[in-house]
Formats: sequence, structure tokens, C-alpha cells
Amino acid sequence: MTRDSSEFSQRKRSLRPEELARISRLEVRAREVVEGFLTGMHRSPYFGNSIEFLQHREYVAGDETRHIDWKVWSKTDKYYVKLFEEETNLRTILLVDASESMRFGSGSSSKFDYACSIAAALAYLLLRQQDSVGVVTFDSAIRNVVPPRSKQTHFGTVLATLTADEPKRKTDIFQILRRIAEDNSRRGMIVLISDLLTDRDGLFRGLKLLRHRGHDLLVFHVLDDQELDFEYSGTTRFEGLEETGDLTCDPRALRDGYLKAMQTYLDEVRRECARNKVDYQVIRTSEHIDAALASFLSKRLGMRQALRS
Amino acid sequence: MGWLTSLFSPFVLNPAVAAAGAGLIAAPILIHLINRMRYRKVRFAAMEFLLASQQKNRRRVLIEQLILLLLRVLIVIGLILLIARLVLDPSALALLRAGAKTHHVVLLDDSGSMRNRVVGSTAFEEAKDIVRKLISEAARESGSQQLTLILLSQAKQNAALVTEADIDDELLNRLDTTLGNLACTHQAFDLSDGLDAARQRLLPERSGARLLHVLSDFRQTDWLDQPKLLNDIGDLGKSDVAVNLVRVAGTDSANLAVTTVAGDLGVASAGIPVRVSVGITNFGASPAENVAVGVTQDRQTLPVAERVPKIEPGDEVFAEFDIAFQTPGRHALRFELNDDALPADDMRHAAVDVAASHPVLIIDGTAGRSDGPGLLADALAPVPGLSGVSPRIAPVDFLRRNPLSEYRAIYMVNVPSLPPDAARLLENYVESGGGLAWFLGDGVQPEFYNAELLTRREGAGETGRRRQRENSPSRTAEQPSNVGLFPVPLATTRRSRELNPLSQALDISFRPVGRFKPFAGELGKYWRGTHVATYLPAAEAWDRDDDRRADGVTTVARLRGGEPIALMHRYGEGRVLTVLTSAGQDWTNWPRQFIYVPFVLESFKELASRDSTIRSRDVGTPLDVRLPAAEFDPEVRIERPDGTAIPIRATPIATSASASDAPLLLEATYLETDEPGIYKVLTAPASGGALREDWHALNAPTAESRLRLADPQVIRKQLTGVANVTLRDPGDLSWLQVREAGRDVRLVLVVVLIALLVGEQALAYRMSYHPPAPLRARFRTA
Repeated sequence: MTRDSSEFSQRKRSLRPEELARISRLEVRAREVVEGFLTGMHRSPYFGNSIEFLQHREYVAGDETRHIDWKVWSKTDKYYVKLFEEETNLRTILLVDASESMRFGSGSSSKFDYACSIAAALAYLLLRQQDSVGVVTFDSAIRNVVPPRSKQTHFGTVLATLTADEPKRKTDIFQILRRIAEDNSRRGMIVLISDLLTDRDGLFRGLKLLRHRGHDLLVFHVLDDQELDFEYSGTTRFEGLEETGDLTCDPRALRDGYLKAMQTYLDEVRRECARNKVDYQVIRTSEHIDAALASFLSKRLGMRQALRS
Repeated sequence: MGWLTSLFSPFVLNPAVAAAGAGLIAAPILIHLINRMRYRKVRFAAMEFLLASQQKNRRRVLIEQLILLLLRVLIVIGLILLIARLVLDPSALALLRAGAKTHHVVLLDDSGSMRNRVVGSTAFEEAKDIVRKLISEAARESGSQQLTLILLSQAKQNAALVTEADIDDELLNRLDTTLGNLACTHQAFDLSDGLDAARQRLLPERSGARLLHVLSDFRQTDWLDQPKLLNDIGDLGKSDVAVNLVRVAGTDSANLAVTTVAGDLGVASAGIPVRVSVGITNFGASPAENVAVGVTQDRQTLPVAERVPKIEPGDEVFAEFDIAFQTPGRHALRFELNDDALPADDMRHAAVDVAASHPVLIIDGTAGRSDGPGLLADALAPVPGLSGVSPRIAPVDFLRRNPLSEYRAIYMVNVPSLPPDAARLLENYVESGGGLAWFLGDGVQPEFYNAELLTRREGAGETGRRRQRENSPSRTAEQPSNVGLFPVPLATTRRSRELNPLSQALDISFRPVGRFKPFAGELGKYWRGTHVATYLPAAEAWDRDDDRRADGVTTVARLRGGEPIALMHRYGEGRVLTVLTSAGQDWTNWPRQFIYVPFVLESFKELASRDSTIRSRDVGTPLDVRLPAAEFDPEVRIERPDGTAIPIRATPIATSASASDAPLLLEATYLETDEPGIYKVLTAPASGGALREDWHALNAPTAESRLRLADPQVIRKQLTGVANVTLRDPGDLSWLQVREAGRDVRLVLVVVLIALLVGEQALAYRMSYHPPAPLRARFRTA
């Protein structure tokens, strides 16, 4: 813990101390929210290798022979395999968008900084609950990969990875998500932290693919205040990040049209996420991270309770 | 810059400011362009949405920006016009531009027609009200305002009621009293004189605004076909004088006037009725019916009122009166109608000098051998006192020995020749207004007549001709006649005609000349049976055509065959009747005819009365009094129509050295003759005794009775192309607030400017970003 604290203090850009303090308070609620947050506290919904027997099932071709309960065979002359309740940590992969568009920020920090903060906060939260956390940063390709680990010292690795990157290139979301799906056959939670300013079709296909592979998906849609409110005034030359073109205009005149297009886009993303059962949250970079997480977690809690009941 | 200034000059008071400000119109455009060039750079991620918005709103944004730009340009223009003081009315602009000094010259028409009654008042009173309002409005204006008030009656003398007086409250109070006491004259004046007077006062001024306000009733007679008047106005307009023609009468008024008094008043005798024709003219636009005409003699209404059934517009209809004067001496007659729009012309005055009888001299050239003189005397006075004429028959020598001026007419009957002094005395007599009749006979020596009487002597008759020209200006164009006392050269031998004494054919036919007109008409038939057997014809060479000859001699009667038998001509102030046959029965049978007596009486009236129409002078004519200094006291008294007596003093006339031996004359002139009526000039003989009276009847001029107003459209048409001249309608006083117009424009401009600013702000607000309170919540994490 001491080591972690020193790392936090060194990485102020990623996680400020007051944010850490807030995140600590979130822990109590987080336990109830994230399934398998802490080992043994919850039953896993998945079957797997563990020490606690669950039930028998008749052997079918393809089952591993090592799971055959020979005692039952000796008594009944039939092959049964033993099923155990899996007792595993939550495998969470944090996908952080490091494309050039994430460099935008009207305030003191960019969207990428904010995304890193969210990723760090979640990593901290999950590691505190002894879940395994991995981090993947990407732009047009995967830049850095930190495989999921649950060791406390892993947090430093995560932070180092997050701080190592500067957004540079365009986003190619579908290829990234497809790659993640291929590399992570074991189901887990995937948290995508991005501004989603990319090919929408690729985004939706990628999300659908991950859901198809059984992953639990969370999307933190990080947007700057100016992107949401567009409060520019005076003649302005907008230079597009990710080679999206330039435009000199009076932003006041285009504001209504911009906001309308933005709203349409957000509605579309929200609708698509809902359709694929993806938790979706738009987060303003001006909002406190804890507030964003609290809102998100409370919403997720409500959703789980509804599922169980 | 200069051309820009001149471009703005017709519209704004300060064209230089407008020219300088014109550059500012480009300011919004420049600011817009500079803003387009000066931009900040923002690296932006969500370009996709921004580009989509730009694509969708490109046209709308462009239009909105153009409108906004236009509004801002208009605001700048509005501000410039406000500062440069936009004035739409050119006359108001001229007035304002002149800056401090404004000279109002008011030409107030106070001629007789302005007495025309309009609703509840007169045109003149309306005009005075306008003057008051004009002064009142001008007094409220800033800057130096001056007033010159010219009455049309004083224009010819170049006098003014007020001259370049500063318009302030003091002047307002002073003029209020002056205008209150100011009365309209009865006289006729020429508007050109008024414009001349105004021009003399306005044109020398070069600084300041100059305005001429002409307040008149604008009658047809004054304004239509008056090229001089239009030229005068045009000259004023060209000289940058703003001319306001202000009509004070709006509608035509019906007006009847007594325009003529004609008759034998010149030969009126006591106790003898005199026929007087009174002409009433309808100056209105519709017929007048049942018009009553009354007569007053010496302030007593006579019981002889006449009614004229109908008078068509423009017509003059005569009413006949037989008026008798009981006593000899001076009498005043007044013929009057009921009051109408213009009361001044509803009466006409006449002063009549009634004689006990009129002496007539008949010169018998044959010393009693002819019955002509006797027959003439019988015809003139059949019974003593019946005709008011006292004939006296005398030989030729009588002319040399007795004063002729007491005789109203002299009949020369069969006079062979005249001694030279008698001829000169006769010439003087006729020249000074006496009447002369020639009757020929067998004693007449044509050679003498042709040699001595045919041609006017050198210098003779000049005085009379001059007086004649003065009294009747219309005759000045007439060729001066050189005809002497006898009008026609005679043939040397008489001409006898073969006549049937029983024939009833008309041998003598009259032409409608003077008093002989009835003989050419209804009395013509009574000449049947009258024959001229012998006469002295005019010389062969003499042209029988009056018009071609044009020597002032008029043929009164011709014989059958065209030979003239009776002729009339003027000699000085007198008239001459020439009959080329005898007065008696020697050569003709007409003394035996009934028609002889009327002919002789009419010839007497023709010769005795200087004019068949009672000579009437217009009001305003000065009364000139000339007196021999030795015989009269210099104190002269004028008795006005209202009975008041005004004493004036006659002063000696300055005489040249060459005329130093002439008797000294005193002269006095009385000018205050505006009131119609009888003016009595009373002079006292130096030897004492009764005052000598001289009566003058002054009447309103007929020209002022023509109240028909000129059509404003016609006046405007005449004024087409004349700069700076505006015709104002009656009751339209908006021109008085000429400066208010400038203020109105400013007010309108301010309102427009406010509207533009509000519009600009509204549009700018619409195009700018103003976050509503709940907006941030829109994208909060749902």
C-alpha cells in the first residue's frame, strides 16, 4: 500500500490524491456492484475449476477425461464428470483510447488525461478487491498491453503503461476490438474508455463481437465540455484532429447544427449500446471522476439487482 | 470629396459631414472582413459534427450574415444622416442651410377684391391671420429672423409697412395692433409692382435665406396670361428666393356689380327728367335672378327701384331710370344693389351738376335770310323750360365779342366764312370741351372751309389731346388726328338730286354712332319721307371709307348712294358734328319731319356732354386742385364721403423763367381717396363770398369685381419648371412649420435607427451563443 501511495504521488497527472481518497470511499459500494469483486464473496455465475463441488453431469464426448468421477463410475458403471463452481477473480481489461482526437481538451487536461484517470481509478478499485486488471492502450493499432494481474503491485505497471503513451494517430476501433476479442477468450469485463470519434459502424460491430464472446462491456464515453456545449465565439479556425479537415467559421452560427448532430450521434450510440446490453456512460471531462464512477456504479447496481430478481 | 459633397448637398444640411461619413459606411464591411481574417485556431476533435452543421447551414448563415451586415451598414448610414441633418423638403433645406439669418418678405394683397367675403370673414382678414401666424412661427425659430411686410397698395411707392424688422415678441405685439387696424383698400393694383418691390428688397441680399410669401386671392384676371408676372416670379426663384404663393380664397364667389352709369346727366337741367342707364354685370359663374337696383339722390332713396329679371354670367344688363332734379346745383346719385360677396362694387356714385338751363349759341351766317337758325332754336326749345335748353341766335361777330365758354354748344348755320380771330376763339372753345355743329347752306364758301378749317393749326388742340390721352390711356395708340374744326374737304359746287317728294324710300340712313344709335335702329323708320335735295358733297379725292382713312372722322349718316351727309369727330376735348346740308328747308325737307326735333336734341346732348357715359374715376385717384393764386384762398377743404372735412393747403406751382409772366397758380393734391363716394373740394374765393364746390365721384374699379379665381392647376402648370416656387392651397398652413419638417425627418430617422438597432441586436442575439440555464444538463450522464 505504501508503495502504491508513492506511485500515485509520482503520477499526479493520472490520479490526484483527492481523487484517490474519493475512490476509497467508493469501495464499499463497489463490492456490491461488481460481481466477483472480492474472492469468495459471491458465487460465480461461471462454471470452472475450483475446490467447491457443484454437481455431476453425464459425460459427453469432448469433456476432459480428468474431470470424470471414477468413484461414481465404479458404482454405477457410468461416466459422470464433476462440475465445480469457479472461484476466480474478475478479469477486467481497460481499453483506453490513445488516438489523436483524445488529445483535445478545452480545460487543463485532455480527454486522454481524463480517460487515464478513469482507468487508474478503476484499476485501483479492482486491485483493491483483488481482481485482475489489464490495460490496453490503442489508436489505429494496439500500442501497449498490460495483461490482467491481481497483484497489488500490478497497479504501478498499469500506471506506467498509461503514462507512457501520447495520443498520435487515428482510431481504428473495429480492428482493436476484434483483436481484444481474439486475445481474450476467457470471459471477463471489458471497459472501453474513449471519445468514440471513430467509424461508428466499426464501433458497433466491435462491441457486438465482444458481447458475442460473452464479455461484460462497459463504455465510458469521454467528451470535453466544448464538444458537448460548443461555446466557442468569434471567428475561429477549427483544425481537425485525426485528419478530419479544417473549417474557418463563426461558431455561433453553426452551434445549433453542431449540437443537433452531436445529439443525434450520442442518441445513436446510446441506443446501440442498449441494444447490445452494453453499459454506456457519457462523461464530461469537467466532472469529477468519482462522481462519474458513482453515477455509473449506482446505475450498474440497479441493473444487476433487476437481473437477479 | 468635392463631388461627394455636391452629391449630398440637395439632401442634407451638412454635406461635408455626410461626405466624410460616407467612408464610414464601409466600416462594418471592413470589420467583417478583418474578423474573417483574424481568427483563432482551435484544434478540434468533433469536426464531423461541425462540418455537418456547416454543410447544412451554409446558405442560412450566409444570408443571416449578409442581413446583419446590411443592418449595420444602414445603422451607420442612419447615424451619418442624423448627424449631417437630412432634410427632404428642398425649400426647408434652403431655409436651414442659410443658417442664422432668414428674411421673410410678405407681400400682402390689399386690393379691392380681397374684401371678398369668405366664410365668416374676408380674404384680407384671412391673409392678416396668416401673417400673424407666420410671424408667430418665425419668432419661435432660432437664428435671426427678419420681416418685411409690403402692402400691394404701397408697392409702387416702394414703401413697406415693416422693413427688415427682427421678428420677436415685441414685433409680434406691435404688428398685432397694426394689423388689427389695417383695412383693405378698394383699389386695383398690379401684382407685378408688388413683385418688383419685393425683388428690390430681396435680390441685393446675398447672405441668409430669403423667402417671399405672396398672400393673395389669385384671381383669373391677375394670374392667367400674365407673362410678366410669371417672369418676375421665375426671376425670384432663379435667384434662390423661396417663393410661397399663398392662396387665401378657396372658392369662387357670386358677385354682382354696378359697372356703368350712362345717360344724359351731363346735360341735366332742373326739373327736366333725365334718363339714366345703370349697367349691372354678373361676375359670378351662375345666372343672377330678380336683381333689385335702387337709387339714392342726395342721401334720399328715390321711389324708382327697378328689378332685373335675369343676368347671365358675364353679361351686363341695363336698368333704365328717369331721374329729375328739382333744383339746379350739385347733386349726388347712388345706384345700389343688395349686398353680396363684395359690397364695395354693389353701388356706384355719380356727381351731377344740374343747370337751370343750358345756353346754346346758334350763329346765323345769313343774317336772317335762312329759316335754319330759327328752326334749330325751336327744335332745341319748343317751349321755354321744356327741354332745359336756352338757344340764342347771333351773327358771326358775336363769336369775337362774347365769351363762348358759357355755351354748352354752338351751332354754325350757313356761315360763309369766319374771321381769323373768331376761328381761333372757336378752336379754343371746342378744344377745351365745347360742342360744335356745322350746318351748311348756299352761303357757305367751300374754298374758305377747305383752306382755313380743314387742317389743324400748328400747336392748336395739343392741350386737349394731351388731356385726352391722360384720361383714356387706351386711346393713346390712336393716331393723332390732324383734322381741324371742319372734318372733310368740300367740293366746290353743291350737288342737287332728283327726288320724288312723295317717295317714302329711306334717303338718309344712320350708323350706330354715339347718341345717334337709335336712329340706326328703332327710330330709323321715322326717317322715311326725309329727303336731301341739295348738299355740299365731300371732295372727290376724299376717301369715303372711315376705317381706311382712319383720321378720327366718323360717318354718322349717309345718303342713299353712299355719300356721307353727317360726320362726327373730336377736336381736343370737344366734339364736332358736321351736317353737309342745310338746317332749314332750303336744301332738305327734314325740318318739316317729326324726326327733326329728336335729331337736334340728341345732337345737342352729344355735343354738350363730354361723354355719354358718366365719367367716373376709380377710388385711389388723387384729387388735384389748381387755383389761380389771385382769386382763391390757398386753404382748401376736402369733404370726404363720410362727411368729415380735411383741410389742405395749396402751394404755388414752381414756374419756369419763360413763363414768369403767367398768372401764379396754386396746387394741392389730396391722396386719401380710397373710400368710394362723393368727394367735395371746397375752395374759398379771395374776395369772400360763397365757397366754390367741385364734386368728384370715386367708385370701386370694375377690375376688382372679377372675383373668379384662377384654377390652381393652371397656375401650377404655368409655373412648371420654375424653381423654388410653391403654390399653397387655402387653409394649408403646413408651410408655416417649414422647419418642423426637418425635425420630423430627424424624428423619423431616430425611430428608424432605433428599429435598425433593435433588429441588429435581435439578429445578432439569434446568431450568437447564449446558454440557457438547463443546457448543461442535457449532456449530463443520463
